[in-house]
Amino acid sequence: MHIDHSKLVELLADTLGQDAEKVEEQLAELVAEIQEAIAEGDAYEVDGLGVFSGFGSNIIFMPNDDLSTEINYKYAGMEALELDEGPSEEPEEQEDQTTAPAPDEIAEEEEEIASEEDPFSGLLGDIEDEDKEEEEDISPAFELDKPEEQSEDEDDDLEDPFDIAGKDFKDENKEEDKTEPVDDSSEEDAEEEYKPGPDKWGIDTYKDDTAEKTFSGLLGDSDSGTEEPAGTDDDFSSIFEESESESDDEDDLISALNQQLSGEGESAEEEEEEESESLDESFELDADATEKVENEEDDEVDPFEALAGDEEEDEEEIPEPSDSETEDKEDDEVVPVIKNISTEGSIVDEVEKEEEPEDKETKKESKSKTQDSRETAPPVMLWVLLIIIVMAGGVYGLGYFGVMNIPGVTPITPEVAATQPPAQPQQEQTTPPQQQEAEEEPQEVTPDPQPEEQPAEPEVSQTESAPAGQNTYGLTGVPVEAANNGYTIVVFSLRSESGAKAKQRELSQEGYRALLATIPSQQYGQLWRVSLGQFETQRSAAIAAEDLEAPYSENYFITEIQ
Amino acid sequence: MTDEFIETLGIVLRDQIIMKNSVEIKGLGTFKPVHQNQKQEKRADGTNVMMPPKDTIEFTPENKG
Repeated sequence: MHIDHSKLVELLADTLGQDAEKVEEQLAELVAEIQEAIAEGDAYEVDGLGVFSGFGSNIIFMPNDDLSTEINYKYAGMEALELDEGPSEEPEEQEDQTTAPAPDEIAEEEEEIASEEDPFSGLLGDIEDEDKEEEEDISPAFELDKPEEQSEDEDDDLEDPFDIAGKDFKDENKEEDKTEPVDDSSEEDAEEEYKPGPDKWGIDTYKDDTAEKTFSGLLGDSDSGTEEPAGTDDDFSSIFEESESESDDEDDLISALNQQLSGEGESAEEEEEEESESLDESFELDADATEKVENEEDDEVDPFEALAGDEEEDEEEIPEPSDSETEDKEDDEVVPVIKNISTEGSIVDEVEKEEEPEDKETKKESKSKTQDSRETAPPVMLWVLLIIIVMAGGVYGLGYFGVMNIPGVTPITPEVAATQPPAQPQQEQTTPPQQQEAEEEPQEVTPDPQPEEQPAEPEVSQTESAPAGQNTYGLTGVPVEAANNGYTIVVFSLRSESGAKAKQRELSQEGYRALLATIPSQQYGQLWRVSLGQFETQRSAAIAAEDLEAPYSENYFITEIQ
Repeated sequence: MTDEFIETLGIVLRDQIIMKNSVEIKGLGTFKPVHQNQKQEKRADGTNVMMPPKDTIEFTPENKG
C-alpha cells in the first residue's frame, strides 16, 4: 500500500488533531528546510526519523538507530545463529568448522590445547606427566653439560693458560686459582640452579640450546673462557678478573654459611685456609698419587664434607622449580669434585666411594627438603592460571546448566508446543506498536462470543506423542514434543497472546503444525511467535519454507524451537 | 513547524513502514520498507552464521537524477 502526500497529511492531521492545511504548511516548511540545508551542502537531521544529506544531486536518508530498531521489533532477540550443520552446497570441511562445539567437545579441545602447550599440561596434567616431560627435557641438558665437563677436564689438565698469562699473575692469585676449580664447579651448580635449563618452564621450554651456550659464555663463565687456548693474554686477564670477583663473592658466601652452620666459633678465614689446604693437597694428588693414598682419608674428608655442605646450603637458599633439577644438582654436587681429581687419578674415586654413604644421607635430607620446598612453593603464575581456568569452567558450567543466565551459554528451555482446537480466526497481523496497543485493549475487553464457547471444548490439546502415521518431524500434523529439539518456521510475531493463539488455531485448522512461543523483549515486552512445523535440520526447514503458501512465504524466518 | 509535528511525523512514518506501506512526502521523496530475508554469511574466522531477517527503509528522492 502506498501512502501518498495527501494521505500522509490526512494521517498527520488526525494524529495531531489539527487542520490538514496547517499540517501541510508545516510539512512544506520542513521539506523546504531540508532542501535548503542540502543545497548548502549540510545534512539535516529530523528527530525520531533520521538524517537527510546530499550526495550530488540526490538526497540520501539514513534512518536513526531508534527507527531502525523499532521497525525490526518482530525480530527482537534474534541473533546471528552459528550453523551447527553446513548447507549441502558447502564442503564438509566448512561444516566441521561451523559446527557449534558441544560442551564436551569444548572440554576435549581444551585438553588438546593443554597437551600441546607445556605450561597448561603442567596445570591440567598429572604430576607424573610433568615429570616425564621434565625427564625428556633433561636429556638435552645433559648433552649440553657434556662439553662443559670436557672443558673442565681440559681446564684441569691445562694449567697452561695461566702459564701463558704469566707466572706473576698466577702467583698472586695462586690460592684463588687453586680454589677456583672447585669454586667454578659450585658456580656451575649455582648457574644450573638459577637457569631454568633442564626443567624448562614457560618461555624457556622452547629456548634454543645454542643460545644457552652463547649466553653462558656471556655470563663470564671462566671455564668457557679458559677453554679457548688461542686467546690472548688480555682475554685471559679479563676473564680471570671476572672469575676473581666471582670467586671472592662466593668465598664470602661460603664463609658466611660456614659460620652459620658450624656454630663452633671458627672464623671464616680459618675455614678458607682449611679448604685451600685441602685443595692444595688435592692438586698435589695429581702430582703424586701414591703418597696421597694414606693422607687423603684423613685430610680430604673434611673439605669434601664442607664443600658438600656448602653446596647443599646454597641449594636450600635458592628456589628450585622441579624435582629433576634438584636431582641433577645432587649429581652435580659430587661430579665437579670428582672431576678435579679423577682427571689424573682414580684413587680419589675410591675415597669418594667411601664418602658416598655419608653423602647419601645428606642427599636424602636435601632431597626431602627440596621436594618440600617445591611442594610448598609452586610457581604462582601456574596456580593463578589454574584457578582462572577452573573458575571459567565453573562459570560456564553454571551457565550451561541454567544456574546463571549467560547469553550464548545458557540453553533456552524448550517450550511445550500446544495446539488448540479450531476457533474463529482473528485478523491480527504485525500491527505497529502504537496501533497495536490501541487494538489490544478492545480485544481483551470486548466480550468475544468465541471464548464463551471455548470452555466446553478442550482448550489446549497438547499432543505430546506423535499419532499413528505421522512423522516425528514435518510441516503438517500436530506438534510432537519429541521434535522440539529441531527447527521451526516463524511466520508471526505478535504482542498479544490472544491474537497469537488465534493465529495458531487458524494455522492448525489449515493442517500445519502450529507452535506458539513467547519471546521476552526488553523493548517490546513479551512477544508471541507463531511458527509452523518441526524440522530436524535447518536445511529441511528452509526447503519446507520455500513451499509455504503466499502469505507465509513472503516473510518468515527459521529458528530453533524453544 | 513545531516539535510535536516533527515527533508525530516520525511516529506516523514508522508505523506505516512497519505496516509495509510506502510513504511519499511531496518535494522530498518516498520511504519504502524493504525486507531482507535471513541469510547465511561466512565470517572472517570461517564460521557460517545465519543472519536474522530485518526490515530496512529505502528512501528514493523525488528529484532522482
